[in-house]
Amino acid sequence: MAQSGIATDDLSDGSRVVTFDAALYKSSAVKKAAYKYGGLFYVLIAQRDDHIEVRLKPKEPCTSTDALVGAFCNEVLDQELRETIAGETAGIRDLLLAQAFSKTTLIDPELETSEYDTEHSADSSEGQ
Amino acid sequence: MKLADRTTTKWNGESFVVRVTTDASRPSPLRAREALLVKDRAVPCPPGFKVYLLPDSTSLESSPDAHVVALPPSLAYVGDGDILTVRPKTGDLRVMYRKASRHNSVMVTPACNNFCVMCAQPPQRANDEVFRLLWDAIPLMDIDTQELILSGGEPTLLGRRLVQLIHRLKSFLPSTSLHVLSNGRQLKFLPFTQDIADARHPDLVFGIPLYSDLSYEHDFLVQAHGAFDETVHGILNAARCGLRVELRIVVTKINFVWLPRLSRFIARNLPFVCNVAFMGLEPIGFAKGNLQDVWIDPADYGAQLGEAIQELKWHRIPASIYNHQLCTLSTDLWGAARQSISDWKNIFLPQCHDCAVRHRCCGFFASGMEVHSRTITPIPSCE
Amino acid sequence: MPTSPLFSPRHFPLQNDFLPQKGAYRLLPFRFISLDAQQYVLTNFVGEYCVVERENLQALVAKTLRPGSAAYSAFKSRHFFFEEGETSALHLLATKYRTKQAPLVEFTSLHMIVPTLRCNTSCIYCQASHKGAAAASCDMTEATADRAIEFMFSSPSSHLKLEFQGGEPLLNFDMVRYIVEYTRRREAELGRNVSIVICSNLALISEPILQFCEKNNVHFSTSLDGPLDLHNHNRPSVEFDSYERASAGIVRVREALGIRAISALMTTTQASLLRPKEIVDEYVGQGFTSIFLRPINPYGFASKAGALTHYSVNEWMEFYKTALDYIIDLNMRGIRFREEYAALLLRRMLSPYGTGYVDLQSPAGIGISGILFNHDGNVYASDESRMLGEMGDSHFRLGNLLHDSYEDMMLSDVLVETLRDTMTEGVPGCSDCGFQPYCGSDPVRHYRLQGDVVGFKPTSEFCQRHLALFRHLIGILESGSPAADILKGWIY
Repeated sequence: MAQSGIATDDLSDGSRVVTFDAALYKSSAVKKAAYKYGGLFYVLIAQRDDHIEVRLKPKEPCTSTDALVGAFCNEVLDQELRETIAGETAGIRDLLLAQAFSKTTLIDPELETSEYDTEHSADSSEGQ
Repeated sequence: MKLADRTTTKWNGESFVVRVTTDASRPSPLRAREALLVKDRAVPCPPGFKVYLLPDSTSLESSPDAHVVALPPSLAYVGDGDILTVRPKTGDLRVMYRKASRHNSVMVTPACNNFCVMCAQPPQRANDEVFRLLWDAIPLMDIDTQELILSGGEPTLLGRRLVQLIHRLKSFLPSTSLHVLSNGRQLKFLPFTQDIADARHPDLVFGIPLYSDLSYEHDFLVQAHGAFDETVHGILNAARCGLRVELRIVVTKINFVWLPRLSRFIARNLPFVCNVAFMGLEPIGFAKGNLQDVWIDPADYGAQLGEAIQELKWHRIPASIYNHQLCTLSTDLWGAARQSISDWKNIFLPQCHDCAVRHRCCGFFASGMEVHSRTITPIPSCE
Repeated sequence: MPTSPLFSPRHFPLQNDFLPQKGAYRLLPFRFISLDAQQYVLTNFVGEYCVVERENLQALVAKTLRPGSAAYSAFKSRHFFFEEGETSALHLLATKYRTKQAPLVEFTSLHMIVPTLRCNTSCIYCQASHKGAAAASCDMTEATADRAIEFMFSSPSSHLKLEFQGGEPLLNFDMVRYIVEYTRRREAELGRNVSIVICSNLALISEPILQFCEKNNVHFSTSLDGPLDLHNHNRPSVEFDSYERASAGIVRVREALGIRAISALMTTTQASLLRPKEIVDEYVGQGFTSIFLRPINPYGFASKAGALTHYSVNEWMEFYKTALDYIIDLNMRGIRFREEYAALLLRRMLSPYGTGYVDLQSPAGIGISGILFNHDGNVYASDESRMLGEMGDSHFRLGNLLHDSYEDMMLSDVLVETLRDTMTEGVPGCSDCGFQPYCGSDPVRHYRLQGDVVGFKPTSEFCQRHLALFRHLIGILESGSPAADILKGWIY
């Protein structure tokens, strides 16, 4: 998967530095990805002017650091996606929870009280 | 077997219902709502019956109180306890109810708010007379009637009158199962559903069609935008109020591929339904007009039907198959097949004569004479 | 689609007229996690799942899915989005959510009671027994037992379950008898419903015991770790042949109480790892129709025994997959047999109903789903909490029956705060995990192994094991193979 705005550097202690363009990536997404990879890496995050710098040092000696760092970058994208979803669905989620535990409906309340006598007179048409 | 025909006898009067009897010495108070089926014209007719049914009307005069009606040969089968609708102005005679039948189905209104592409009983304008005649007929029905089906059109369009009808049926026929065929859309009004439930009918089931797990597919089949949403809402309300719901899925060329995922949807969303019925198409009404778009040989959807039933089995939801001949189904589905076709429209084909399981098979709709599976063959015995 | 000759398009609009506009939907809450290198598992608000490539996940969020396409249909049917105005989706989701949470309303169902810590076996992974200790310090008193049963009846659950643990309960059958009689009497007085199970190695089963259990509708649960040598290796006794007693006991209990009156479970040790098929065969041979493949718990003797009992998540998964494959194979050959943990997880994935399972739920099952009364009257939030207590850490001891009230214990800070702080809906790593609807929190385990009740999921073996399990089961379900059908048959 193509990554834009990222460069990686190799440092002498085996750690990698990944930079994320702050205009494109949220620091919250980076932090959540860092948490998820906290079993494999020691992680240091720094906010610079226009980018977020992440230093990843493998906890165990590792031959596939490249692959893992790549996976970490993908995870950041996944976390961005999760934040988008959470932002869009927060309101409806609260409504669903409230509805699930409410004694009266919060959705279509008018259908629970309205008069229903919908008798059609003899000249009503078909196929409504 | 015909249910309706025309008589040559006409007069100017309101439509009415009568119960048929062959007993000339009926108690007098009952005669005003009964029709005497006259077998022996030599015997003088006792007075007091609303109608006298004869093979022809040449030999007896009618009077304003005692109408002699020529019974067409197609309706000569009527017997004690059957109920006839008589429309004197047009001469229309209809057998509304048959005491000996296991499949009494009565229309409560011809109007509908769906317009299904395979509708066997296309909607017509609302007609108050239909309701009034049924209302009058109920006290004439046999108290041991096992089951009565209320259909239409769309029964819930009657609103409060449907509630009253259910109360009346509970009063006069307290041990008769009631099956209301409805699209359930009006049940979205909770007070309406609650009023129906408050009738506390002892054995009431709503038979509600659901053709897809997706709103736009269902709405297309019933030709009404928003129908799926309202139907689902209605089904949920029915469950909330303790009303039993059976889902009815007519299988057509359009929706057969959706069946497995529809079962998954039912299992996850509507697990409380008392039954799911997969129904063979009756090629009359709109179905006949749209035949090339809706008819599919059941032999061609065995896989999907099997998958759909298996999915419900895994979830312990009862499922049955209506209107499918046994030779069109794989044997592992025979257990779900029911003898579902009303006796008055039930036929078998010539090749069925030698079939070992004919007695268990539902046979065909009368319309199935021309439209049926290519695989109709007798099952040899010991299968 | 061709129009029919009798009706014009105006009367029967083409299917496309009913299709929604592209992008005209609103997302419903959902989570996702990678399944493998290419695919993702998405789960909706109530755990209905969908497996898709990443491009479809992105299209779902970006609202570029083509209406009527397979992906669009799959998402819509499973309530990942809804079209504006289609409130039935919201009603359904809310109802489904309430259904999934329903077991919580039952509150505490499982009540474990320890009539004695005395035992006649030295299982290498044992978590709690004191073999050979003086009876007085190991046995429950009647006063304690009375209070324990009254505590149990304080729970509103409509299906209470009383489970005798130990030690070996049959070593103090007098107390077992006392408790059962007290319970049945109070059950009738209060109009309640209690099922009673004795967890026992069956070595001391006798006619009087069986008659008592038959009369009082008491069932058994026993341990069967595998064939003779494996079972006796895991569960040695100096007094008798463990395997022989267990096997004989199973037969006797079945004959006296019926085949449903006894169930068995196993614990997996290092020695077990090499013999999955033999263990399953042992269960089949002894007439069981299911097995619960359980990994070891990191408490008690197990932690002391170390190398004898410990293994990695990968080693466990290899064992589990081999056993599960074998069980599925047996099913395909017509032998009805299921794996219980898989059945539980499948029920969560595929059925609309909630499943209360003490060790895997959110909020955690401690106290509110299961609770334990120790022989000395101490009340623990779970069996594992008791084991911690026996190891010297009383963090999850809620109180004592002789001093503390029901409210004191059930509203204690340690219980309420732990439940609140460890809900998977809220903790990092879990709250947006694609498998959250199927999983649960285990605060006691994480406290023991990682030092705090929330734990650090990236290094949690509990988490890794469950991730592997969910991925494995979904992989089978999605394969469309006959194995998938076998698994679906285990939902109920």
